[in-house]
Order: sequence, then structure tokens, then C-alpha cells
Amino acid sequence: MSFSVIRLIPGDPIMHIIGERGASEEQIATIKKNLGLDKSVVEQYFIFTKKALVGDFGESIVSKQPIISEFKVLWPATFELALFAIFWSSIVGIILGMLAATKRNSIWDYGAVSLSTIGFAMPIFWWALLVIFFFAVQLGWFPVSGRVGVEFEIPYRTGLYLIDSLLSENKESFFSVLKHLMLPAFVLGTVSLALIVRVTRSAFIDIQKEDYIRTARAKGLRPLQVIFKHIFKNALPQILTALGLAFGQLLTGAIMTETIFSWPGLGRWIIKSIEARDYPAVQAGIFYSMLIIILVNFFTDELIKIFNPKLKES
Amino acid sequence: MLKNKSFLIGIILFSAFILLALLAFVWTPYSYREVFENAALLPASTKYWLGTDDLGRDILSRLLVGSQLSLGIGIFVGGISVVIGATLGVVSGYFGGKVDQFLVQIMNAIQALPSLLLALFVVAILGGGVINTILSVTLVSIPLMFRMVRSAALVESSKEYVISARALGASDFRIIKSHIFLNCTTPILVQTAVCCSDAILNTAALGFLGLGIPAPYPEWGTMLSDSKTFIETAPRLMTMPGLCLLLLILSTQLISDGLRDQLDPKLRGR
Amino acid sequence: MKTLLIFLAVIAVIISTNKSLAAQNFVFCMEGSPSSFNPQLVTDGVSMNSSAQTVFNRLIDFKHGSTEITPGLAESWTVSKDKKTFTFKLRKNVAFHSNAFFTPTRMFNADDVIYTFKSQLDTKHPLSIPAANYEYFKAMELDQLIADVKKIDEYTVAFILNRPEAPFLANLAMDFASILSVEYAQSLIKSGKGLKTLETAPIGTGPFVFKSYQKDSTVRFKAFDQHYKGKPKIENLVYVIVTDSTVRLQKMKAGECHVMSEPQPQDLDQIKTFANAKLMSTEGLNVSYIAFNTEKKPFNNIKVREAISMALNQKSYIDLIYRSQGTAAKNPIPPTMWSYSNATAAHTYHVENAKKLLAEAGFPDGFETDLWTLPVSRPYLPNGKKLGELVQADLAKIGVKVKLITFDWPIYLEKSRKGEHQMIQMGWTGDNGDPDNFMNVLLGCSAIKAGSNLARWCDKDFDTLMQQAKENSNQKIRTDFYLKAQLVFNKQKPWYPVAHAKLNKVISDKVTGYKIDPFGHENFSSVDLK
Repeated sequence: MSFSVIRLIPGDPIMHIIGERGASEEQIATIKKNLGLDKSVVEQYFIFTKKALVGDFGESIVSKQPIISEFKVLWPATFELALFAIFWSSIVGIILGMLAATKRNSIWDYGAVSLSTIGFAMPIFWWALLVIFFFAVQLGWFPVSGRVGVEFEIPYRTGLYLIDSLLSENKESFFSVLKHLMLPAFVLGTVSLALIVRVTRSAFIDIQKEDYIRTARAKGLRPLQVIFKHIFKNALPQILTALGLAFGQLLTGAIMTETIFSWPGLGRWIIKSIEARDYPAVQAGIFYSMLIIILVNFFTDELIKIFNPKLKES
Repeated sequence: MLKNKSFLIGIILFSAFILLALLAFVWTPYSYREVFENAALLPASTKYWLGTDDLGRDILSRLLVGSQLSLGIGIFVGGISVVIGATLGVVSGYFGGKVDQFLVQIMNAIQALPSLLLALFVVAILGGGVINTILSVTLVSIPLMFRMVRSAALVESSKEYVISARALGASDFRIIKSHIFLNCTTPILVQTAVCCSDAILNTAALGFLGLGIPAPYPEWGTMLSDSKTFIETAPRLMTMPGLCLLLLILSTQLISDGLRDQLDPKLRGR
Repeated sequence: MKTLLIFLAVIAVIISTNKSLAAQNFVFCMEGSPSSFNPQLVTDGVSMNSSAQTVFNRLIDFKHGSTEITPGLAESWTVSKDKKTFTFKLRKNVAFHSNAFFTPTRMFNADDVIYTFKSQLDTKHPLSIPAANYEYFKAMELDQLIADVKKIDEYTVAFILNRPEAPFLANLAMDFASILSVEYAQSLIKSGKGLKTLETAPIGTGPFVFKSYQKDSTVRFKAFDQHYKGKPKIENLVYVIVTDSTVRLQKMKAGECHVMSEPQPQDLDQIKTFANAKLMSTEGLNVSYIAFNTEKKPFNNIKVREAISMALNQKSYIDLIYRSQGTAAKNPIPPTMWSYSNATAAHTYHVENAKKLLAEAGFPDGFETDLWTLPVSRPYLPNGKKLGELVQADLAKIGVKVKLITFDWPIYLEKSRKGEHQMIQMGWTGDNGDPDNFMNVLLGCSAIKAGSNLARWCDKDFDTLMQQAKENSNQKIRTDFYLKAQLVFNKQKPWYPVAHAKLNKVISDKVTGYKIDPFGHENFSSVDLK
């Protein structure tokens, strides 16, 4: 699939290599040969599939680095961003959803519902611009691009800068990393926040109506106990499903967020590769994003099974 | 109560946008592409109600014409996805079997990637332009409609009355037309609104990334991305296109939420 | 509530952590990522600044900040009587860098020069990179010009040319002529790392040693203490890649950059108010233009070209697109270049006369046409799309309906080379300070086939003047030829020259000794921090 899509893109990657200055026919032929573009499409396809299966996507036409080694740096960047986004949005989202459900028709409820409605409708690129304007341009609190201040050089260990910075000599860099992470993660998390608030709220409302909750309440359990021991536990599968869904959304969101915040991750890389007609890179990009979605779906399914014994038995 | 109110707000907002778009056919303060050489980057005034952009063009006029584009695309894509997506969905759900498998496979393939990413690839393959942008956002919205309608049709076609109608010798076409479609109105209506809002958002996103509707059309996403370089010097340039976009998408979503509640009492109060 | 307070406190601490730049770091914020660190293979400014200008040296240098040539690794040179043999005396005791897997055993000598040029000249050379096609070397026609490069002794090298060529010395000062180490290339082959490593781990004689590159993020260099001109004053040089101009400015404002490239015209007023930085400008060695495809109707008609030139409001382009950071153009070469003609006529803006001319040409009601707009921001034209919108509005006034078309940059180049356009925006930044590099490369008859003559305009008089100028080495006589050629150009109007853009840099007040360069080169060997 990813192969066929890419071969259809018009425009020659070779022209990108040549640039403004031009090249002769023979030169073009040499480049083609070196990139394997002189072979027939069918041949190219088989070569691609064979290599993709062992994780070899060849070299990026633009940077001339093996794609797998680029990916090793890019993916942790996106992962860190998405994880941080999911982290804050699920904490805030679940709390807000719970509040809204338990205090229905209160200010909390109206607030949470409006927040999630607006959050759903908010074009993330505009939101990013607004956030940049207030927190970076007006207040000057946060940097607006990159993963860490240039004064720090963080050696690659896990690719997750939050961890790598703590392992590096200069522990101060951890704060720099955190500071760089905050705005993009805040923007990216807004998308999933809306979803999580909505799902938590409706799950809680449903479960509150169940008989065993009423029994528990009648038994005289304290409200907080009821909420955490019973309702939360039963709402968890639904919330986890939503989290899995949110992660898929995050990939789309990451494209916009990473582009706007110059975050050196997978999303920005895909956009750049499309613009540059970097076939191998785009192919790999599609492949990896599909892989990530599949993996995330798999893990959320497994998680749900763990928290929902009923499903496990069946 | 809250839902009814917000449904009403949605309808009012959406109608307001439609009125503005219609108004733009007969009247805009200036031509949306007229350049006032000595009036670049002016703030709002009595002469230019919302100010001018970096080339000295009237922002209000551009927003109005932009609303025609966004609304037009939204409604068009909503319509097309009903025609194609809903029809295929009903057929797939009703007949089942190989047709169903085949269609589901195709839709799964389309949905394997997040919608914006797919739209991006389609535009990259076909090149930019109005038609190609519409094509790409339509393509990604069809599976949404298909899935929803298919599962509804699946439920309907296993119901008593369909089975008895079939036993009575009614033709498939007739059953689909007079029973299944009718009973799938709810999901179709809801999903139309969803497709419409997705199309508007995706068009704007493509525009923002510079791959969408080309100049001279003042598409909101493109206006936003143009305003990005003025975030320090003239931040007001980015307020209006973004706000319009938010309100239009919000209105379609309020409508779809409202429809879902109105037509499906089970979900009420969620 | 308590947790909320703690959370807020943590955020406050994070915000307040001070971002003090480590004193020995010099940070240059640039607009793009380098594509390779082998100066023989790169064609764009960003890559050249990250390789040729920092890690390498050439036989001949441009005096930084001007287009004059001065001795580099060659101490002196002599030219034979027939002007076909150039003999260079090389500098002694010039050391190469070392890295984790290479330590040089000897100083720079003639073998390195021979290797540098032979490997580009002859693709069958054992140390010629198989995948490379040395575009720049070929684009300057050096593969046809140089017959041989000979080693006379350890420190003397002779270049034998097929014909006299006036700009030859200037060509040797260009980035692709940077001197590489033959010993390094051989060791790469021996160790099995391959010549590809030249693109990721460069070894040169330049003022800075390449340390590391993090894709789309940073390039790090450190000062080379054995540099033949003396160790640079700054210890660590960091190139930070920030593609977005707004973000770049943010970083500059926050004190994270010492020098920033390519500020957008609309931000300049704001930059002037910065407390910690100032704006530095120089006239750029560039031109932006709209080319009419003279092979196609109606642009084969000179009256149509005149009419359109007359309908375009150049002043509004300078005001709105360049925000006065450019001068109105009338010739194909910039005014800072020698042989610029003051005798040619400037554009006249007159809508009514334009209409009349168009009617005379047989188009009383105008016509429909395409204008291709530059898809990327280049130093010579900050925003092609916006310029297109202005041209579109101007031409609508004389009844010419313009459709704006654009493609991704590589496709744009590919299609325009084939002449698929009608009107097209393009521009050029000089390579070696020679008028030939503008006029012959962009408007000569042979450039039609090469694809760089976008007007696809072949004028006999013009072309003869180009050839005569090229083969003469007396600058005075050459100037006469070029002056005449500009008159022909001005009369025939194959282009509508738009502007010569200023080059702007933002410089922190802490920086001393920085010079802005007309070619757009960045050289930090003589800068220091207060």
C-alpha cells in the first residue's frame, strides 16, 4: 500500500537533488541508477517489500542517511510528545469528567461539557498559534521550537530526552527539556482532552445508574470510596478504549503540532518528505504510522482485557 | 435541556454563516482581491471594518468569500458522502456476503491511515487545486459514513419486518428504498453533519500546510498560515479566520450532537 | 487543591530556570538543514555554510564581505601567455583536521589539490564518489574547460585549460572547489567506511572542526587550533536549524542566537527596537525576475512583453513584498556588480499606455495566461505567492487574466527547465561575482538547452557579446561588452526584472567582528563574543 501510493506522486526526486543549477542527461542517469530508479516499477516493488520486512527502508534521498537510523531519533521525539500529551490530558480529563458526572447540571458539568465541545471543534493549528501568541510571544515563558536549549548537548541513549537529560552530565538540561515539551504537549493534549472528558463523563453517568452502585451507596460507603472502588474501576475499560482512540488522533495532531513547533518528530518528517518527494522516507513514514496505530490498538485491547475480567473469560 | 439549547445555537450559527455566504454573492465591502497599495496592515477602522492584510486587502471581504468556500466544500462533501457512502453502506449491510466483505476491505484500507494524513497523500499525488482538495477530503469522509450506515443497515435487515417483507416477495430494491433507508435516516443525518465538519477542518488543515485551495481564493486555513509570520507584528490577522473556522465547525458539531440526541432517545443525556 | 498548588509551583520553577548561554558557545540560527557536508556535492547556501565555509579552505578565497579574490591555500599564481596555463604556489605547513577514525600523517600538499580536482573531473578516478555527479563543477563547465591538473613539485600545481576563460580564478574560489584530503579519502576506502563518509564526517583545513550533526536540529563545530591563519576566537560554534522565520526571531529575541539568518521583511521594524541585537544589511548579489516564455504566443510578440512590463506596478512590489528591503531592478545584474549599466531605461508604470500597446499587438480585450509563483522563500524573493497575487491584480486591470500556478520546488524547477510555463517567477544569487555568471548563464542561447534560460530567449547580438566577453580577460573591454548586452536586454524585455533584495542578518550586541557577505557566505573565523 505505502509503496503504491508513493510511486504515483508526480515529480522527480532527482530534480530535488539537482536543485537550481541543473545537470546533464548522463548525470541524471547515474543518479537514477544509484537510487535504483532505473529498474521497472515491479522490480522496485519487490525490492521494497523484501527490505521493508526486515526493517530496511533504504536511504533517504534528501539526507542520504539510512531511514532506520533517522527513525530511531524521530520516533522517540513523537512518542515523548504524545505520551506527555496523553498523560496530562487523561489526568485532567478523567478528573473533569468525574466531576461533571457526579455533580450533574452544576457549573462543573456545564464547564466540562462546553470545554469538550469546543475542544472537539478547535482547529489545532489555530489553537497552537493562540498558545504561542500568549505564552511565548506575550509572556515569553516558554520557548517555541526544538526539544532542548542549544547550550545542552544530550547524548543519545533512549531517544527520550526526559530520560537522556537525566543520564547526561548536565542535569540542568532536564528543565530545559521539560520547558520545551510543555507548550506542544499542551496543544496536542487538548484534542484528546475533549474526548476523554466526554467519555469519562458518559461512562460515569451510565455506571452510576447501575444497581450495584446503588447498593454500595445504600451500604453506607463514602462517596469517594464508591467513586474509586466501583465506578472508576468499571468505567476504566471505556476510558482506555478512548485513550487508544485518542492516540490515533494524536498522530494526526502531531503532524500539525510538530510542524508549528518545529518539533523534530515523525509528523514533521512526513510532511517534509512529502514536500521533497523523498520516496523511501514517505514509504517508511506510512509504514511506521500504520505500525504504530496497529500496535497501540493491540496494547489498548490487551489493557482492557486486564482491567475487565469479564472480557478475559469470554 | 442543555443539548436542546446547544442544538439551537448550532442551527442559528450555521444559518448565520449561510446567510453571510449568500450575502457575499451580492455584496462585499470591497473586492476580496483588490490591493490597496498604501493601506497594508491597517487595524480595524470605519473604512476597513476588520482592517487590511499585508497586501492591503480588506479582511472582511476576504472572510466573507472564504465562508463561501468552507461552507460550499462542507455541504458538498456532506452531500457526496450521503450519495456514495450511505448508498454503499446500505447495500453492504443489507446484502452482506462477498460484496460486503469487499467494500469493508476497501474502506478499511482507506481508514488505515489517519484522515488528514491520507488527505495529504492524495493531494501530494494529484497536486493542489480546488478540485483535488475537494476530492481528497471527500475520499477520507466516505468511510466514516459507510461504517455508520452499514452497521445500522445490518441491524435493520435482520429485523422481523424486513424478513417478512422479503417473504412476501418484495424486491430488494423496494425493501432498501422504503424500509432500510428510512430507518437509517438518523445515522445518515448525524453522519452528514460529521462529514461536513470534518471536510471543513481538513480543507483548512491542508490550506494551512500550503497544500490546499490556491490563491487568489481566500481560504481560511491559508489565511491563517499567511498570518503566522505576522504573529509578532500584527497578531490580529490570525484572530478572525481562526474564530470563523472554530464557530463554523462548532456549529456543525452541535447540530450533529443535537440530531443524535433528538433522534436516538437512548443516547439522551450523555 | 494542594496538588494543584504544587503543580503550579513546579511550572513556575521550570519557567524561571535561567537560560544562560554557556559563554564559549557561539550560536548561529539558520533557516534550513544541510543536505551533505561534502562541499563538492552541495548546491544550496545552508549546506555550503555548514561545510565549505567552516570546515574547508580553497586555493583562492573571496575577501570576506566582498567579491574580490585573494590568496587562500595558494600563496601566489602565474598565468601563461596564452592564458591557458595557471600555475599555483601552495602554502606550506597547513594542517588537516582529525576525527575519531582519522589522524593525518602529513601536511597539505599538491596531492590533495590534484585529488580534489581530478576526482571531480574524471568519474573513473578511483577516489571519485560513485554516486556523485559533481553538479556544480559541471554547471560551471569546468569539466570541459580543464584539460589537466599537473603536479610540478610538492607545493606547485598547474592547471591546463582548453581555452582562455576570464572567470576561472573566481571559479576556484567557489565552495565546490574546497580542498579535501586525499589521505582521508584513501583511509576511508581502506577501513571499509567508504567515500560516503565524506558526506557525514568532513575533514578539511578550515577554521572549524566538524563535531556532530543532529538532523534538523544542530550542527556543532569546535575551533581548529592549528588553523593556518590562527585559531578562531570562539571555541564552540553551533548552527541551530530553525526553518520557521517567526520562531527564529523568537529565539533571537530570547537571546538564544548570536547571529540569525533571513529575517522576514515585515519583522525588520520590530528588530530595530530590540535592546540586545541589531540589524545588519548589505546589498545582495542577486536579482529576482518574471520571465516571459518567448517561445510561446503571445509572449513571442515584443509589444506584449512591453505592455505587460508597463502594467506592472513595481513600486508596490518593493513596498509590499520587500517592505523596502530591496531596490527596483531594471538590468539582469545587480548594481553592486561591475559593468552594471546606468544607461538602460527603468520600468514605466502606465496602465493606459499598456492597454494601447496591447491593442496594437492585437489583444484589445487582453488574454488569459499563467504565472508560476515561487513555492519557497529565497533570499532574492521572500514570498512568491504574494507577489503573484499582486501581479494577478495588476494585469487584471489591462484585461489579462492570470492563473497562478505553483508546484513543489523540485517539480517547479523540472517543469520550468522544459519550458512548460508562460510567465514565471525566478531569481539568481551570484556564485563568483562575475557578470557572465548572471547574463550568460541565464540568458545565453546555450542556456536554453541547459534549461536555465527561462525566457527561452536567444538573441544573436546578445549571445555574440557574451562569447566575446567570456574569452577576454581585460575587465575594461569586458565591461563594454556587458554594457552593450544590457541595452539589448532592456530593449527586448525577455524578463521583467523585479528587484535586487538586500541581505539581512540579525546580530546580537555581544558579537564583535562579524561581517555580512554579498554571496551569503557565513564565516565565523574572526568573530568573538564580548
